[in-house]
Amino acid sequence: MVIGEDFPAVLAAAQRGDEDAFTVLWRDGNPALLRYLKVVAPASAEDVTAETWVTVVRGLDRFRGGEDAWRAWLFTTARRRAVDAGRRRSRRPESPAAEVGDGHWPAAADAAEVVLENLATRAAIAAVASLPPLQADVVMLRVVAGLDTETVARLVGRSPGAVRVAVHRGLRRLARIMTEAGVTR
Amino acid sequence: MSGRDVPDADMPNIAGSPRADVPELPDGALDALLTGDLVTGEAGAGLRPAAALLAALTAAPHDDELAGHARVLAEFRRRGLPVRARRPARRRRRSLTSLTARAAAAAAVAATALGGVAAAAYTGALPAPAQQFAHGVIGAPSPPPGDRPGAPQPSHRPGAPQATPARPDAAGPDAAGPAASGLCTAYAHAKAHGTASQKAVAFRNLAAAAGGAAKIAAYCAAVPHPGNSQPGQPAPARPAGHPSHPTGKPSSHPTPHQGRRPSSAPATH
Repeated sequence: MVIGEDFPAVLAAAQRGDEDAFTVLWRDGNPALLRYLKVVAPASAEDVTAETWVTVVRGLDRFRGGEDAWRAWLFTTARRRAVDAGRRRSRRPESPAAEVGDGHWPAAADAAEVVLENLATRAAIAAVASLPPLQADVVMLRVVAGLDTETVARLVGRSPGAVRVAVHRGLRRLARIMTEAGVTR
Repeated sequence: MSGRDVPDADMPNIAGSPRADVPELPDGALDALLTGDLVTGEAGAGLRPAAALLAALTAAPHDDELAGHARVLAEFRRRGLPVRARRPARRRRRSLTSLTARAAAAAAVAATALGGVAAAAYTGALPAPAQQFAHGVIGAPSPPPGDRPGAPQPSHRPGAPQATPARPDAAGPDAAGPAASGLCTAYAHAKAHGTASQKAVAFRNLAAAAGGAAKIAAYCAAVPHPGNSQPGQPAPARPAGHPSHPTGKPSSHPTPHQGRRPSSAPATH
């Protein structure tokens, strides 16, 4: 998720109410938010993603900062909403398998490629979700959210050193999972 | 997410029990993986499985990940903006059109550069780790032997837009080969007959292969193909399709939950 040099203008336009500009922000951020929340709040990822955007839309006018700060805000909000959802729904039975059966099957001519890509991403998300919670969280924040170590550390309430260690452990474990799954090159 | 705070000590000590066939990856190599730096030698080879996974994690958006647009736009319209702030926004829309389209294209290029399985599927030039990953996970064909691209760039950060497909050492379509003509043809066809979504997909695939939206015209012009009827045609003004028209129905239902306003936006750092 990168908008780049146009980000200040896009943000300013969205803050003035321009729907196209806001759509650029949403299209850039939503897939990453959804992937992150599928790892940290698998039972309610879609709902928490929607709640995140409600919060972001309502606070949009007051946001000040560049694209890094924007991403940090998006994922800070998402993480808080996920914690809220976990508290609200902790007594509900979780159904992590439901997602797999609810696949998206487009009718386009290139359906095979789309499905291939979809499954690869889904499998990767499932692999990260199998990590211990802190490792899964920080790997997603570093890789999918694109946040730096210091930002991730503030977000999860750990020291940068602890985050670095958790990311390394998570990546090593993922490498091992992949290797054992037959991915060797 | 209430169980986030599991101490690291609860985890098995991986370093103490490495499998004989899985060499331990040094911290430096893992950091390089995160920043997209090329790693060569044994560490580089050891990183490929993880690189494939990170590529899939950061792949271009799927249609079902862009399905909630109508709902969030409705929320956007409802927010309490003063009227005086709305009017100038409408007057400025025309000039913003190219701006937002450019930004969308840039975002699409960055998002696609690494994990564009769809783009690579046109070309048969999926980076070997990703192809192998797909092969291992869902039975897709194995990558061809000898296809050993450098480590891809999984991390996407501003200021360092990914240009993997444009780099000579990266796996990607051969600009003069059938892959390129396939992408150009697919885009030309989508532009003429496709839906906004198909146009967007074809465009971002092509932009990723060309090394940027601005390079599409030159890229396709260099590709001899009967289907590419207008070589050298500049990139369209609205490549990502009109964003006001969602390409899928919302995948989730509105919730009455009132999100709390953030007390303050995070400070820039």
